Amino acid sequence: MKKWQWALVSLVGVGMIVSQYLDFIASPPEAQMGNVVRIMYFHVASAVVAFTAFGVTALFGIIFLIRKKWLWDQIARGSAEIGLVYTTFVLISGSIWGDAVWNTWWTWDPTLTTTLILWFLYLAYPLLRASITDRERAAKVASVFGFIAVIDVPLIHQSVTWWRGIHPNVITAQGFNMPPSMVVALLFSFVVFLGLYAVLLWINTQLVRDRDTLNDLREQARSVLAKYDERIGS
Amino acid sequence: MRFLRTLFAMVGKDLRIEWRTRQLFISSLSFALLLVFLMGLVLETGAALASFSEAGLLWLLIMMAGLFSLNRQDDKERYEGAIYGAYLAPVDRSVVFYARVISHLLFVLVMEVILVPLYSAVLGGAAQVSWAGFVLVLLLGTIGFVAVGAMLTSLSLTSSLREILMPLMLFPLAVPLLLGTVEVTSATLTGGNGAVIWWAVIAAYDVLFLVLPGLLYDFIAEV
Repeated sequence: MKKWQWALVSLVGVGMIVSQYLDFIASPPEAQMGNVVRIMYFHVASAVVAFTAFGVTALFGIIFLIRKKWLWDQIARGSAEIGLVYTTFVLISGSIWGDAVWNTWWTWDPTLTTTLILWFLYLAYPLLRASITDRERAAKVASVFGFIAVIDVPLIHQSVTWWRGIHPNVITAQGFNMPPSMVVALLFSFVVFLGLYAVLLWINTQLVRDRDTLNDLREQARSVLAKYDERIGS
Repeated sequence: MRFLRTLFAMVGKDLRIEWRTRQLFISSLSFALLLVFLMGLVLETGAALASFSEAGLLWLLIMMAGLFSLNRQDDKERYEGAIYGAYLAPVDRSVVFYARVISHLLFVLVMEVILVPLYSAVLGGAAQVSWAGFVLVLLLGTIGFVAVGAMLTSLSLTSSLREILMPLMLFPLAVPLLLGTVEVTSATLTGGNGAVIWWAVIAAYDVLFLVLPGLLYDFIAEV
């Protein structure tokens, strides 16, 4: 690792610690929810990371389709995996929060429904990739799928919103007026989480690239061995 | 002109193959009929369903049967790399996509002609149906579903997990369409015509998935 990379990682690490302080100590409990509100800092920031990650996947997928450079595809792939993990975090932390505040683990609120659909879509993404042996074809197919999924998300969200708008909705998320210290904690957690995302993306892209290189080497080794076998056999 | 000629030739090819064997049609239809029977069994026939549930089940049924036949049809094209032969046609490759949409659309529509009356006989409770709206939503909904399905079939063509991936990709992507068609169908079953907003969702979805794959098809059709 280069010096600036160490610097970035340490910066994010320190930021994480500061963020914990802001989330758990410096910010006040909420009037109605009490300390439960502290889930928000993790939950909302994870959601920001998840949506960013999928946006990055779609963007770099399209760049790959146009420019045909492997690095763009590797970034898209690395980002999709992180996005899936963070969407899972969002759903789990949201459920815990929902149970504490709304007294139910799950409700068909538009945002929840959209997130769940998104989770399913990005569960399909790595499966699609892994189940296609031709690497170039897998990359193209996944790029197209990632792009379509992101295009479809606004339509999904809008339709789910109208759907719930027509039916009676027992539980709604109330907007809350936040004191400044909470806003600071929330915004800070956004920044730190996005920093963490950048670090993870960079590491994961390298990992993905190493995996590709390893596969290439394996292919080469296999063909060399096959030639060797032929010579021994003859 | 050449685009259209190739398109008709490919649709004709699909229909001819299907007409000679009738394999796909019979197997998908029997699967759908089995589903109707099972739904009737577990939902206790005789008790009328609420119009929303009736519409919802009908659309799930159509989509399941449609998915089943999409997967099968796809097998036919994978067999001995037949799809690569189609790509050799000297026209824009999106013709393969549109041909698949048209032939599959015809296929599912014919299936619906048999399926819908049977479904309403077993599970239907609707007394006053506004037919024009019902038929139109059936048509538009099927177009959207077939379009997104045909697109995903091409994506997962060489995937070894195709059977499980197809529903995993298709149903989440089709959520707007499903909600729209179920809302409108449910309204038409009680004599209404459905809210404009839902017609707009269905129309937007149809346009999106008829145009977008046409533009992106070149990327996935490259061998």
